[in-house]
Amino acid sequence: MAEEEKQSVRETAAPWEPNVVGFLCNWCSYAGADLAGTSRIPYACNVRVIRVPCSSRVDPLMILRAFREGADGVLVSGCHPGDCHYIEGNYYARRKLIALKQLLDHVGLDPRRFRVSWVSASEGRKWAKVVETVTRDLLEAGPFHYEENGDDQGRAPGRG
Amino acid sequence: MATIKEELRAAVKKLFDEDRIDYFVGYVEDYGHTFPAILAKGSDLSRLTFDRKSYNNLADFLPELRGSRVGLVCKQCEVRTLNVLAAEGQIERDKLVVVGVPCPAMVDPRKLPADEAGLDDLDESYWQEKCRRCLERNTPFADVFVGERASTPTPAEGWPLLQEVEAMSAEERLAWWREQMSLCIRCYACRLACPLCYCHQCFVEDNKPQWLDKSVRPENNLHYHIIRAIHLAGRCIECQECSRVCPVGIPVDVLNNVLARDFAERFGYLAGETAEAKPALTHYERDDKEDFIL
Repeated sequence: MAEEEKQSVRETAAPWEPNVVGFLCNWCSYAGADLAGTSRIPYACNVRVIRVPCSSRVDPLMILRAFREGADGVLVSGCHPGDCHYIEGNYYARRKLIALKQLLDHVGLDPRRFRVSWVSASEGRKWAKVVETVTRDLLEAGPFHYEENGDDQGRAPGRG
Repeated sequence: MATIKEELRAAVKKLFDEDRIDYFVGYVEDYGHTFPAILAKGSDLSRLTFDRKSYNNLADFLPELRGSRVGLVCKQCEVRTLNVLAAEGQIERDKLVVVGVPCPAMVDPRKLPADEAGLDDLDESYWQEKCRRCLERNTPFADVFVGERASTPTPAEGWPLLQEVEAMSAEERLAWWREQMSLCIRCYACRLACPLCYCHQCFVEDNKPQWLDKSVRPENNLHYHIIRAIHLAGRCIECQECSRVCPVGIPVDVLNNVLARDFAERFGYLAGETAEAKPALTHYERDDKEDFIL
């Protein structure tokens, strides 16, 4: 096993593990993540995957909702530009996600909490790397408290 | 500006007499104020006016008057709004009679001196912020023109408040927005006054799924304002109506300004510049600049 892969796996679990919600397109990134698994590439297990038909299916509402429900980070991943199963979906997604990114950066959200990546069906290794990067950054950034006096899950006080 | 009022009244009277319109959307003066009004046939036209306090964006009334033949006082704010509405198929141009007026730059009532006598001579410091950034004071298209052509303005660079907020660190910005959002009472006046918020059902009223808590918490409020800004991305023409009508004085338009500036820099797109340009989010270029994608 390559040296870099050994390093990428943390030997002991950190006292706190980030919760990442990943929106993966069915045709590329989901298959890429699948390939990472069948290739037995070890990588962090912090991303909770939600499969969507296309990265352009991801509405900014869903991303904010994920943060609202206690995610520490959100990752949207789709086909590389030009590779979209629906020809042009990810081009539209890109503009929409750029707009959201601008706003989240403007209101002072840590840029490490919202990430977008292009991972193709053959890029199992890239998927593992992306997840490692996102997880490592979030371990540094720490838990996300959406509400000022919310609980550890970032939920509002008095909320399930 | 007695002449422009008279010209306007005569023009509108003619439109009604010739039976070209069912309604006229314009400004009327009463009780010392200028405010927008929808005038039906047979209304008293003697209060119709256009002065430096005609700052409302009248295009806000158009979607609900859809189906009728409507005349509209049109200054630069409305011009750009009409272009966006036309590109989105929200207005029927053949049922719309545009009365073009040169805009003298509107004054901000919050900045007005107690004595309003010299309203026409007030300098830039009394203007609405949007008027200092205006690119053109004349209406490029109109069915009827009234008034004399105004001179081309020299627009100011950038929005002062946006620059102020952007000079802060990320933590300070978050604290500043949290502070602003803690004031919001979610009366949705911003949504109501916005000429481009014309959805019959807004996402905040959705129940299944419920995207947003109804409770007025700073975080919910920020959630609402971010999504509203996203829905206006590449559409907002920065008329600042949302901020002007806010009863608690939140500068809501700062979020829209962020996106408008970014879309101009990134995609070379200025909302409402023409009626032909495709809205920025329904269109893409293969080489759109992506600088944060892994």
